[in-house]
Amino acid sequence: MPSLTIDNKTISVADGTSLLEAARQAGVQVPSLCYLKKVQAIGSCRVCLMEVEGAKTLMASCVTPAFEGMKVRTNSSRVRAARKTVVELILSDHEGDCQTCNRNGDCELQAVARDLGIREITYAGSKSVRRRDTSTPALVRDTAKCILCRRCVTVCGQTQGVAAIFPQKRGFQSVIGPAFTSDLADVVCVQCGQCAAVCPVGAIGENDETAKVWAAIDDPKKTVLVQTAPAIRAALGECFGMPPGTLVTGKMVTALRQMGFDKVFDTNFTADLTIMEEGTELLTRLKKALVDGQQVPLPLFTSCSPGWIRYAEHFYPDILPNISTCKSPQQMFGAVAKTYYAEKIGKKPEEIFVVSVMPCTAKKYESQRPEMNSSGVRDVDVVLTTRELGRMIREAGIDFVGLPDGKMDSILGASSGAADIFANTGGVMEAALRTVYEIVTGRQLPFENLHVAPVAGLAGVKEAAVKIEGAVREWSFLEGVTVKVAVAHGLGNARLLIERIKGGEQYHFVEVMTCPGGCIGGGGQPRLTTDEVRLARIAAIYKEDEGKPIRKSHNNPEVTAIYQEYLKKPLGEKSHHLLHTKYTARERV
Amino acid sequence: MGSGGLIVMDEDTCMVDISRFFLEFVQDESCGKCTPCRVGTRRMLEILDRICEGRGQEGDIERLIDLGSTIKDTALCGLGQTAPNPVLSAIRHFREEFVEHIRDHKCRAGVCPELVRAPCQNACPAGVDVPGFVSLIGEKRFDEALALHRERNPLAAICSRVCFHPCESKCRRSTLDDPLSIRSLKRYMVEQEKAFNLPAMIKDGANVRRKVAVVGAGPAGLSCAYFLARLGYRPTIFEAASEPGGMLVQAIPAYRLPRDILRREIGMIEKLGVQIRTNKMLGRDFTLSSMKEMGYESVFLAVGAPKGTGLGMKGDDAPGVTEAIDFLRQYNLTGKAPVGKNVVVVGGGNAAIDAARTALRLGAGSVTVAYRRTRAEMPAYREEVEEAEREGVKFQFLVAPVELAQEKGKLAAVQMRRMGLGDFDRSGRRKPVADPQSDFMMPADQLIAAVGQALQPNEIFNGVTLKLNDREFIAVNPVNGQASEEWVFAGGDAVSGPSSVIEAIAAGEKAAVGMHAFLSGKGEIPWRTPRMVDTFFDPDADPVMGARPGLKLIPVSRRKGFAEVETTWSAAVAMAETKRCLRCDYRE
Repeated sequence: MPSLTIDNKTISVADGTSLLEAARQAGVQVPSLCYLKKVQAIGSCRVCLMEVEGAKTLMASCVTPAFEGMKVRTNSSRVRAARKTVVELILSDHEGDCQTCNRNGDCELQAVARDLGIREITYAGSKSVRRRDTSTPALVRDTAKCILCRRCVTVCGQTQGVAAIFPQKRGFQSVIGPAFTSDLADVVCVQCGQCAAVCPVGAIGENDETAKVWAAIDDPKKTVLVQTAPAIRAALGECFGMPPGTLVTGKMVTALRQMGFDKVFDTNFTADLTIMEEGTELLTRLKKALVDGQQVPLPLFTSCSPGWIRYAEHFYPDILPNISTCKSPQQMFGAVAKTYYAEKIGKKPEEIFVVSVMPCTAKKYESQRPEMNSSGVRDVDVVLTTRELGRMIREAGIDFVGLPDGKMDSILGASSGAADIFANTGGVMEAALRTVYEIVTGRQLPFENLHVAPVAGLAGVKEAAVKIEGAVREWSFLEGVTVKVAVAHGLGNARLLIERIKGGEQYHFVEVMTCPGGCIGGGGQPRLTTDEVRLARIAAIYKEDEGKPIRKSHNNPEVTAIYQEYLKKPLGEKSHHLLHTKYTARERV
Repeated sequence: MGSGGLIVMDEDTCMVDISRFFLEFVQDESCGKCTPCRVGTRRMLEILDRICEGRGQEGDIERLIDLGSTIKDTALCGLGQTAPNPVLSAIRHFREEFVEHIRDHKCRAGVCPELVRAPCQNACPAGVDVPGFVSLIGEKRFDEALALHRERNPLAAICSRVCFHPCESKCRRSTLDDPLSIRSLKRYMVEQEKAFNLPAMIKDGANVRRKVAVVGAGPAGLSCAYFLARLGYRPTIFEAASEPGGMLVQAIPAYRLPRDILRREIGMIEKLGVQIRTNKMLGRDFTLSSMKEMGYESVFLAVGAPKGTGLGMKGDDAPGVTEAIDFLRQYNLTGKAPVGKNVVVVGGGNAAIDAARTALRLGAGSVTVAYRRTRAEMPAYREEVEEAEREGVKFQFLVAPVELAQEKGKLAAVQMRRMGLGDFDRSGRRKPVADPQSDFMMPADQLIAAVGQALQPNEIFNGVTLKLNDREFIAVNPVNGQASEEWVFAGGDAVSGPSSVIEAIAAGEKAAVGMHAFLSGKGEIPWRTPRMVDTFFDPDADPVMGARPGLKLIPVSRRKGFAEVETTWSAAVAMAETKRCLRCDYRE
């Protein structure tokens, strides 16, 4: 517990605490650009400089550990002048089109420049070569705005273990990007958007498709449906200054309706449908293995997260047979909306325009996968991120905070609490167990408040075991079996878990979410997503779940209805056609 | 400098360019991780680039220092923390060179291409278009050649004899064989002049009526008056001596600069409307205050450094001990000066050589030049030293007088002490270190001291206080020669201490432009816009081969009196020499 003096204030901090964190604990605001708590501390931007008594130069506080007896000044004229010069240098090589930049207002560089009182750029000069990469459907990179903080590099390489982008060349020529200045589309990028989520400026962002949505809304020949993923309702409020973890489901519905969508539906509906299909798939595989003695690929991996799918296709093509063939809820919704729903309202699939609002950039990519056209046309036409929806609401002049609550439309709008928790890491697993356990035993899942606590929370790899006791006759072969499940979030953790499985560890069912924290921490969510923000959103989602009268997917009446009226049974022929898909092994470049 | 290596540099190394080189090197070494090194060193390089290209801005030096210091204080690793050091130390020690690049667009080392039209022209303090006049000579267009020369330097005939030709030492032809003999070509050019071709003059009634004065009719004063006249003024020159010319007439012997040539060129300046009033000495016959009362609106002080600084040792008041400048002035103005049998001249500059050769011509039995360093360190022009030796002047190096011995109230001998060479001093030469055990007596009945000249501020500035620089000469703004009183300008030896004719001419031009701006507020100066001569040049042709011809001198046996030693080349030699010019001024 070293004790040190920061600006004449003496505080004690935990061993290994950086000066930056120590100063923040002492109540000092420390500007920084490259530092990201728990993700990156590399001292590259040189904005968090402090004056340490006895040191020859100023010290980057994010990489300087606090020591006993240190005397630190954060507000000397030397510190202020140096910070100012450093930020001026960053600005001098930054495409400063702030007024038209999509980060206008939530840009970290803009905020630091404002806080440091920068009024002119003393050292103006040439700018780096500009390269805009629009090769992927999900992400747009603009090197002219990049400040080379390397947060994206660390997140892509360390957190996600993908390493699609890294620093190249030297000195002023240095640039962040895929190898050999390739396009993102040509490398292993899984388009998860975690790079965009941590970017302090407007250098990486989602491919903005708001204009297409406005055009569809304005087109009288189109019936425009919108589905919103469960993670949106716990984060959208942040776009309007509400604290992280504020549930805004009702306001969101009202806003969407005011924007002009013909029907406001819920991806939760197809999340429940997913549980029906995926749960059945799990039970079928278990039956084949245990009763028929067949070699079936186990464990079964979840398939909701398109970044994870692309990751597996690139890095672990041999486990593709283990991945559930279920489409993600987004794609199930598109397929159902343009067939089942279209028939109901007497429209042709091409007259229906499906917009998704997702916490995710990879969903943009997923909707463009060639096989995602079971309705005969694109099942999902446009995918918006939470951030894009926030911008559209502002654009429409809607006072979001003051909106009354609205209700989802029927018949693709009803959902259980199990669908809500799809947004959290461990949520799909919990939702599946709620249904599967009840199908097998006829009794409710024996966890307090139905929450499978061991697989919840922000630990990287989590596991749980559920012993089947008192199985109904149809599933009696499972009597006494301990179902082992595991959950990983963040692709780096997924890799750890897969390697563990390849090493002999046995599980029956594994949930993988691409983004840390699950969908609530997605690459399309309002920035900046820290662990504090993740926990707040996770708590909100559990609250939403607990507030629902129906907590289990198989109890969703609209799900029951679609099976009766249209799909007949899980894993049936129609399901196979509309709700399931296949995967493609890809090269690891 | 830099990463611990030792780099030997000389006056041909541009300190701005070498700073730029170091930062260019850093660009490839910087890993690009931290902002100060990645962007900061690049910005420093860009500032240095623009300074080298003549686009430097006021404040760039301060920007370099501020940014460099911040980079040192903030960069992540040792590379960034030391990258600005070469630039910062170059500024610390050679700030004046940076200032010249930014302010005067001048690269004294002749390195920065955008600032250097041709190295010879760049080396000339007056900026004479050397390739221009040389190529015009080559086409036998002598009047045009001379007119072009007098655009920047009116005293062509004088300089063709006495200039120390810094242009030749920078001539790029020397990288091929030997430099062009520019001064000899100039001599050939001025010999072809039949009648004065007066330069273009600005006609301005207002300027004619304004009262402007020049004090001192030496090269600086004459040059200033010439350029003022071309700008439309009618300046009056006040000269303390009985004859105009300053050091040209008082110190430089006639065998180097015949007096008719001098008078003729001064006459040309008088033809432009310049009035010269001799025997008018500042501080004796008039003062700066009285000039103001007389209605003079601006004055150029070119009073020189007319006082010998003396040896300052025991016995230096003895009869037979004299200052070189007094000795030369006495002979040159009155036609006679006493010489002894054994003459010792102390010093190694041009005044020492002039005094020695003059004493020899006046009948001295033996003349010995005693210099405290070696021949290599002598400031006197090499050609002059060689000619003096050829004529019989003896040289003693590494000796310095310590005491003068008298006999019967007269100088009898000089006690000399042998010197060794020690460490380098600020002038870049090795310091003489005395060996006290080595004294010896050198018989002498006359000692001529040529160890330095000074201004006489108290005697001339009575009443008005002008700021002096740290060498006790008049302090001026280096751009326009303005002194601490805004209406007073100064130049020549009075500002720089004893220096060359061509530097005095340049100072006169600068001051004329400065006075014009002060009086009229106008800054456009017709002769300062460089223009390309229309002489033929084939840039694809191979250089014309040929050796540098020697000077044409009369034999020593015929050097009896004060007849001119150097003569003119033949037309054939001169024409061939012009073709050796590589035309560095040529641009597509």
